Amino acid sequence: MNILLILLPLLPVIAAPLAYFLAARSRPKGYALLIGITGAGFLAAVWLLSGAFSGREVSLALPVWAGFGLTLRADGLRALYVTVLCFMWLLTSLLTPEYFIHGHSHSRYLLFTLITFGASLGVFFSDDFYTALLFFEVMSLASYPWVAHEEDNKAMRAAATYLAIAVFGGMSALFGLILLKARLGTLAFEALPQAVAALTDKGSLLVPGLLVLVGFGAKAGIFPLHVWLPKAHPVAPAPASALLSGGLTKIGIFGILVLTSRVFIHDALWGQILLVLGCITMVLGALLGLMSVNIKRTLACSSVSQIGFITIGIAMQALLRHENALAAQGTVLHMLNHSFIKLTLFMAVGVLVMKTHRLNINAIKGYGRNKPLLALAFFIGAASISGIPLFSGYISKTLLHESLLEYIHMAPETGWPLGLVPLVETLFTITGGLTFAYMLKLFIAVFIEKNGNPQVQAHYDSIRPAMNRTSGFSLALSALVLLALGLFPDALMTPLANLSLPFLRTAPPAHAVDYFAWVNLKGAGISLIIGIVVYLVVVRGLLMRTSSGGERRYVNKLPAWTDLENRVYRPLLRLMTSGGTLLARLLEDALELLLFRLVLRAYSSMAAVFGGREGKRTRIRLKHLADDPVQSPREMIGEAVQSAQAAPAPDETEDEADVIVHTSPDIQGPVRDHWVHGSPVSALVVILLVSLMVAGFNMLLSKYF
Amino acid sequence: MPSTHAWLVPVVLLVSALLTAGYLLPISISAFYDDPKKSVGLDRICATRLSSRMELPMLILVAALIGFGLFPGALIDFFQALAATLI
Repeated sequence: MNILLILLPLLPVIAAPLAYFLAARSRPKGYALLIGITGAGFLAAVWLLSGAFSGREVSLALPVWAGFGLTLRADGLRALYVTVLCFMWLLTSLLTPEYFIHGHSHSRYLLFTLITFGASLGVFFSDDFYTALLFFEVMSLASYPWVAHEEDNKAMRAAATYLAIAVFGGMSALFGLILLKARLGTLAFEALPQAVAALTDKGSLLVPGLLVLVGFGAKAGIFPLHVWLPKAHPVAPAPASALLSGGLTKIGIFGILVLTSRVFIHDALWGQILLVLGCITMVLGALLGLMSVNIKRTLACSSVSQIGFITIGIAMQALLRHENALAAQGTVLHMLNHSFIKLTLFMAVGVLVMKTHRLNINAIKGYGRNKPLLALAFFIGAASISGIPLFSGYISKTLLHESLLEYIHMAPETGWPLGLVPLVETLFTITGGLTFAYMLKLFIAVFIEKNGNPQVQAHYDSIRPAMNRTSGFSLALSALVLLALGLFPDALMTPLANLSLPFLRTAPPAHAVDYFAWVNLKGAGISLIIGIVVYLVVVRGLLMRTSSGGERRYVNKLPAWTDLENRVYRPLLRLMTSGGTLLARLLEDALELLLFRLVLRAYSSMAAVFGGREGKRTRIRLKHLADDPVQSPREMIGEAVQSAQAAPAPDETEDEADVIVHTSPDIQGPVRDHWVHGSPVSALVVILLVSLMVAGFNMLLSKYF
Repeated sequence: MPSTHAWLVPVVLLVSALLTAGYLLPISISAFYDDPKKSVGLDRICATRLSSRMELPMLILVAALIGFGLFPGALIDFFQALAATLI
């Protein structure tokens, strides 16, 4: 059954064009194919996951494929995440038919959804960085049509940003991997730790590592390359938003996990870098989410923030060294929770958007008032992400928090540098509060408050049922999984976390964490109290304004200058393109000029040599190059050719004067036109120069290839 | 190769790849996406089919691209053999 490892990524890609043409003829058949493939994938993934639990080894090496060969493996974390991705794709496929009832380009959507599906599975199956990067790039490009789907200005702009960062990130990762391979001699996950151990100069791995981090971190949405995420996720169709936020960000995290567990093993500097990046990402995402008045944007910013939490978990794996089991468990479980949470929340929003076609929370206010399933699903997602006890997010956040506390407690004894960790711990608690505040804002606005316009509210109340049975089943199942994870953490979450630990190269903790111990409940309680205070003071106070009609409306008071993309990246890119164009232009002109002079010299020299000594020299009339430097070579060639054609047969008596002009080019005076001609010596010099250039170029080439 | 400048080779290759992406991708994007009122979407391209004589070469080329990308071994061997006979 090892062949499954390549069939799972490949079959969806092969089926994608089929689905495209099928859907163009009959929509239901296209959707059925999508559901069939994702469903079959899910069954296969469950089989692999059960194998991972029973210790069955499933791996596959395809040496001929893609030049360097592909290696695939499905062990703990990889089998788990492939199952999670298949589950997410299956549930969103169930929602897709109803969501796209009034949609357009549904066949294109199916085509790229299936390609992205296969490629995403491929990344998680990969057993070396080369395979991972191949699938990563396919996934990265194939998900572009999701973002551009609506084809309006906003979507096209967001998609352009997405693509630019995806291409840049991919190139950066590729460069990093080339350097890594040069230093270590291997990119196979299993061989990396040994290769690193054998290396004497570990510092030389930092630059390649950071380059790879840029690539995978950009996909995950880590600061400062998070800018695409709050723009791209909201404009995509809701099923795709769920997959982008819940699924594809984890692919970026996967790469960082491999780097941390296999290249920067227990590396303090690497840990500190990730800690700082994670901390900024966590706080920034939460603040942006708090400000936003677009429900999908809030959820996307929340994804940035949660990726920050996960990054902190990865950082603690590096910093805690051999005691990093809790951090590893917390990281995996928070990844898992975030996937299910964003699946539930984005599907709930999709159900809402497909009826209202509005995303502004002032417009959709009151929509969910009499829709119990929608409200319940959203509530479970919101409660989980806020870390309320008995919901799944509480467990993973508690583990991550424990790992921070562990470091603070142990640092003085072992002499480890305490550094930033106490500050991070404070920010962690505060950001937990902010998370609760922005989820409260969404939930109260959509499901509790009444719309400012009674007619709109009456219209909203009349929309029932909120969704069809298939969509309802999909949303309910997603929320149910989340609920079950939170209610039975010891039976469900701990085994899944422990299953993933070997991949992170750590052993289960010596003693299990009592999730509901007083100290952990207290930590969550402090976060929740901060959240309520922030909600009452900031959201209800500062972020609301009374409109002319007397209605309290939510406003986004985020100043425009905070937009990193519009204020920094786009101007920088413009500067680089215009600078690059200018440079290329100058270089081109300079080369042309040089070549032109050279060719001219050579030509007249050769004419002098081969044309005979009797004065029958071939000459070209041209302006003195130094006289008119602004004129472009092309124009000069044109003029020279013209003048050469128009020039009358030269007088023999002019010959002597030419030599003078030629030998003293600095001559001042009214004479602008002169003759250039050469001698046998200059012909030799030119030939020598050209051969030298060719030889030099050859040497350069042979050195590199 | 001087080890201090070894990194220059991939940098040059990657910058040129980046530039290629920069000027090629916008073409396909504006062909298939930009301004839905003016340009033709993928769905509509299917409605107004190209003649098979135009479609076939494109399909063959795309299939060859994907095929040689997945299995470049044969191609590389062929050119190596060719180069060996020439040198």
